[in-house]
Amino acid sequence: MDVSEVILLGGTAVLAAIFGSMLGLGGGIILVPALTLFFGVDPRIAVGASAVAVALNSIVASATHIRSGFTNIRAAYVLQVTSLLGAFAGASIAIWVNPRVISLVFGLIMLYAAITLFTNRAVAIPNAPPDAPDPFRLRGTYEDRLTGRQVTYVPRRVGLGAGVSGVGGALSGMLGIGGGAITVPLMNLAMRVPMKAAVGTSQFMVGMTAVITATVFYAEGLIDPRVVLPAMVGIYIGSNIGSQLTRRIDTQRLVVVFFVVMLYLGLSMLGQAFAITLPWTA
Amino acid sequence: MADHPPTTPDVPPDPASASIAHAATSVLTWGFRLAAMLFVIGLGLLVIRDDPVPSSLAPLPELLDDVGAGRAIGFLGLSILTIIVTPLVTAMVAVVNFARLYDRRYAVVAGVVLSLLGIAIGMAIF
Repeated sequence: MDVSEVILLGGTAVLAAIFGSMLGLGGGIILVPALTLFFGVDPRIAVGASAVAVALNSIVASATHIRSGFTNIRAAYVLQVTSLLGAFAGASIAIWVNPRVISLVFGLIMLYAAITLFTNRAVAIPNAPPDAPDPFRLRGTYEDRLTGRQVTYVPRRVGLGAGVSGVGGALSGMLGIGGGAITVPLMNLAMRVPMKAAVGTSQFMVGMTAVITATVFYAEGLIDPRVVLPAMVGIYIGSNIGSQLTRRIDTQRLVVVFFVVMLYLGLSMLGQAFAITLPWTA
Repeated sequence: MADHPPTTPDVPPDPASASIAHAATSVLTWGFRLAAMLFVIGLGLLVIRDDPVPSSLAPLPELLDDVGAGRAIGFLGLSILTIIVTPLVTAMVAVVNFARLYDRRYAVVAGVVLSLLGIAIGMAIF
């Protein structure tokens, strides 16, 4: 791999992270298909690289989210138990299966994410009263700087949340993505956690889940520094740009562009699984 | 205004959570700084020495040998491992903090998470 390829790969990671950050899905969901389809990288190497990049992104973003009070650390650890078990199972499967299976599952997840772009709507959660039942002591409080109000919530359906987190962890472990596409809607819609707290808590969780993926792949010699290092730098830069752009641009106006790109990448990954090459892919 | 949730100002912030959050933020911040420092040193050595970058990250003992020999991949590899280990240290600090605050339930939950992360990282690195 020469210098120009490294720069191109890093640039792709920047774009993937900008895009993923604006969608609130993290960079991995775009990075893995981009590496696989445009650079001809083995899907398992791409998954390993993405996992390290996702962990880095989580470390940086979580520090900010925790300071803002958005991260519910107790809830994160409760959900993390099943998520890590799922990630371990998913990553173990990913290193043994035919890379085409990874492309197939990734393609399906991308199509799911593309469709939910249109259908998913965040639910506004009313404040929990002071005497709301809280058997797991998961009550969270933060100040919403946009409105200047204190937001208080108590996560519900913790058992359901733990179960779905296990599935999210398995997909995350298998595909090297953060899993925010699954955990954020789960927390917001099913557990009644306000959106900012759901994003902050999910961001904290995905770092730990990505660590499981990265270590399983590392043990199997599937962490390629030539791919990981430019991906790390690119994801870090791109996520910062993406979060700045998200504050200035109404991402809902770009939803059609996002949908088309994700549909194309999803179909391309499915095509790769069945040895069908779509235009502009390697 | 109708979109905003009503306020309930009579719920004070949980001081235990604040203490655990502070500890987690410190670990994450220092983990990132250490990884970034190792990365910059590795990148500098890579430019100066033009060392080859292997297609697979070596086990920890080999990376430490590379650091001793001043090879770029040793520092770059340790930078990657620092990123991998940082969430483990965060979980470790959480267990200590929950235990210090006599929050047994969450000390155990964080302990389970720490054990899972520790087993995975231990298997991979050694």
